[in-house]
Amino acid sequence: MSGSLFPLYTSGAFGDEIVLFIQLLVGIGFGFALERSGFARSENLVSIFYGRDFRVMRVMFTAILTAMAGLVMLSGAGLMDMGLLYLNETFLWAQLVGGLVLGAGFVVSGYCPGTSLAGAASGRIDALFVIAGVPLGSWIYAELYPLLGAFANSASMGTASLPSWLGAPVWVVAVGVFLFAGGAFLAVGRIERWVRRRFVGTEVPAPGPAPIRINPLKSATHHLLFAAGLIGVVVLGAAYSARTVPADWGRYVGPDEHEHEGKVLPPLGAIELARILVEGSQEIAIIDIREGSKEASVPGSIFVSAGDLTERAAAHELPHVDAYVLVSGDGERVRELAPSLAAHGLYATWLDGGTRAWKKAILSPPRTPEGGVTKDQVALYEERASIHAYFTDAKTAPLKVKASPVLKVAPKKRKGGGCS
Amino acid sequence: MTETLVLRTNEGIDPQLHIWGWDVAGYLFLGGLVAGLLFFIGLHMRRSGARRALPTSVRWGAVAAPLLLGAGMFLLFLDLDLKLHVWRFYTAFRWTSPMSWGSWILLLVFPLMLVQVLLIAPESIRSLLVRAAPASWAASMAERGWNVVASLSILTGVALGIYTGILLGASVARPLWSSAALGPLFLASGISGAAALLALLERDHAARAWFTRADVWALGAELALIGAFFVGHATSTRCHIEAIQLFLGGAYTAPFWGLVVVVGVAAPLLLEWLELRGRVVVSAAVPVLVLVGGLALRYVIVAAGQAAGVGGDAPLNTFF
Amino acid sequence: MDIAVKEKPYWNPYIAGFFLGLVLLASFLLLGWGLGASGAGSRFGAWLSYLVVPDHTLGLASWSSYFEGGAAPLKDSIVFGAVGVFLGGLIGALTAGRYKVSVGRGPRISVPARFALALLGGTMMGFAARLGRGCTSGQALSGGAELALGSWVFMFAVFGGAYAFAWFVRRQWL
Repeated sequence: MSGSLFPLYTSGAFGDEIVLFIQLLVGIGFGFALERSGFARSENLVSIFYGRDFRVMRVMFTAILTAMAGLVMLSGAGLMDMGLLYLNETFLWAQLVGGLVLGAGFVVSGYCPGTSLAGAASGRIDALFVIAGVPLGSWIYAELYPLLGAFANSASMGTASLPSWLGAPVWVVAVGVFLFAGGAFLAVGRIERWVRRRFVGTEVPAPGPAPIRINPLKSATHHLLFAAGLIGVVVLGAAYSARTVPADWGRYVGPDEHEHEGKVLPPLGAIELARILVEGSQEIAIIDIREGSKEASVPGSIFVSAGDLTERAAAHELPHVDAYVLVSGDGERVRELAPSLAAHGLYATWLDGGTRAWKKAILSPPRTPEGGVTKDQVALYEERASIHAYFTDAKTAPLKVKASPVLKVAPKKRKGGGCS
Repeated sequence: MTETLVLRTNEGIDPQLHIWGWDVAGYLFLGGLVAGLLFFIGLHMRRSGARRALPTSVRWGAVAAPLLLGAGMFLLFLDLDLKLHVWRFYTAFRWTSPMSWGSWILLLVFPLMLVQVLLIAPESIRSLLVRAAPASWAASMAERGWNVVASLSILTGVALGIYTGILLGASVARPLWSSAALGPLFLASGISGAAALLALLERDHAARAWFTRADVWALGAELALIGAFFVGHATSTRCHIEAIQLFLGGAYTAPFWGLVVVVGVAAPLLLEWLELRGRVVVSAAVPVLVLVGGLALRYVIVAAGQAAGVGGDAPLNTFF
Repeated sequence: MDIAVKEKPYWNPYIAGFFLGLVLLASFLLLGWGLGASGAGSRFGAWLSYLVVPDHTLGLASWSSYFEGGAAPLKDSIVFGAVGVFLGGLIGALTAGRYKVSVGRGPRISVPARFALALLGGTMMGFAARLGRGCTSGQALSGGAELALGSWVFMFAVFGGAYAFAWFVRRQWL
């Protein structure tokens, strides 16, 4: 589905700086919407948890329906490339426990992280304490990460989505979400009425402003929008599913079966590695697995023992780069290690001949060609001499390298987005 | 186990020539703020002609001004590598050096500000000071020269405000800073900051509205001068055009347009304008936005100016 | 000037939700990701921590990526988004006549106790948002609209955790 218009940024329409500015404007819209929803006041937010006012759920589900319908319809019409959208990854247990703790924190603090900003902006002093708490909690998490990392990364299911998990077409799931939300809208109205009759009035008054009297069954506009969204996701969602096989709306991977996206790349010779390093054309990490001597190591190497390597790859603790070059003394041991990195979804290769080859080809000066040499030999000599000078810090000839080999890796999906 | 990142990933770790950082930005901000305060103090002294008719905020502003400038100079002092050599600014005057000029302006500004404290500080503070004999004599002298103090205050304020911008422009090696618009821009920003601060301190509605209106004008002027700053660079030499790219897609685009223009100027301008139209009751948060925007302006200009010198799209330091 | 601007009513929640959904959709279409908030708090924490203990901060696995490649942790889209949320909230509150310096609490709790609970709850959320890789904005709302499996799990867990805990803090609100 290349050639789709959206999303503009991930398909390269504008640069990183413009993105920050657009994000600021989007944030203004977000904050304005939160304020107009009444979410700048903690009383309005928590009253859902006492059954008095389900404003939070109404706003949230309506927003989800709107945005979801928009995504389904635009991708159905071929305007949106779902493959370029940042899809939240699933880590089942961490999200379950994280959600429970966050929910508890929500009712204790009276805000969630986003609404606390809008709350502070409307003059709520208590919201400032919530804002102060969030970095504090993040810090506690960062300090405890060595203990929690394994749990936090367990049951990793990649970009699993409801459609891919259920094995159902996107439009069916979207219709299901519409019906679920519609049913919830009707149900909470009844609950509110019951709670007010039963508790409020006899006990204490409901917090916040006057209770809402909105019956979704009585507003023609709401019906119309709801129906339009429903019809839209059925028609265009079906078109999407019919066209895209398999649909790239997320990919379901069973718990703990990582997505095997990575692979083992052909080994690099010392000269080839040197060319990549000199040109800086690709982001690579050089991982030296030697435990004893660090002699003749490639500049910029990270030292990780062979035993730790897979563990740290699993915990996402290796630097985020395009490809990993494994280095050992002779280049034998790493040949077996590369596939285990690839199993964790990484692109891995190794330095052929290890540091021994590096020492011989790069760190020692090349032999001067003698008598009756071809032009190619001279060029090779000049390149090797300049590479040698570059890595041994001998200030000699200006650097001349041939084009470095290109490691064929898939484009990295932009990480971040939402909340990471 | 030592870890290092490799290749392109450690570009930003290499030291940048960030000679000036938050301290200088803070000094320029406080200097501009004091310039604006002096401007408004002088203006109101001329308008009212008598102590009792002055808005409370102006009287407190006169107390705040020397403290703020003192804090600013302390920041500048922190930036000096050889702190014991600070007196040399006064023994070696150079006509061509704005640094030299500035240190003398500052020396002249302090006595003026002290006279103003004696003249118009709120009674609780004034009565304490005037009790001392020399102070009481000075105060009575100054009383006679009320209008002179007022005019001097306006002039000094404008000079100090422009100086905070020219101070940067003195360095030829930094193309971003060599702009005729920078002095007026920093002055306008200082005046808008001072109007915001005085609006923040003021309790009387009519006086507050006056400062809000003044702030709307100053913020409007600031927007126009930002425009002039861009036009000036875009129509200048190649190295000026390259320098301004830092704000037009380069590494400081988002901080400049986002934090300085939207947060610090456009949003408060809109809200204060709505307040004057009676559509909105502006809170303390809006003047705070103006002040934050003023500090951001100084910081972004100081940081970006140095990035332009070192070679275009330099990475940012950890502050921004 | 003296005339207080009358407080406007909140929007009908379905209309507000529709508008919020359009903002979220605009984020998807323009940027390729949804809304977020807690990440800004985490980055701010990392920034502060770096000021105090730089080496230690770079060694923290869950924070070190903010500094990767010499990056500035605060120069990130989520931080600009958070600044925008504050500004949008301010514009909203002022234009609705709802800006008021006050403390939101029920009638039966003191102000210091409310502050302590706000800080405690904020800390719990900061922790949980790192564990769950997002908060109500980034996971429940944005991920919910993307139909991400983990986000729906997270959303139900948030409601579950909040309802389960509501009884313990009822004196704060009712």
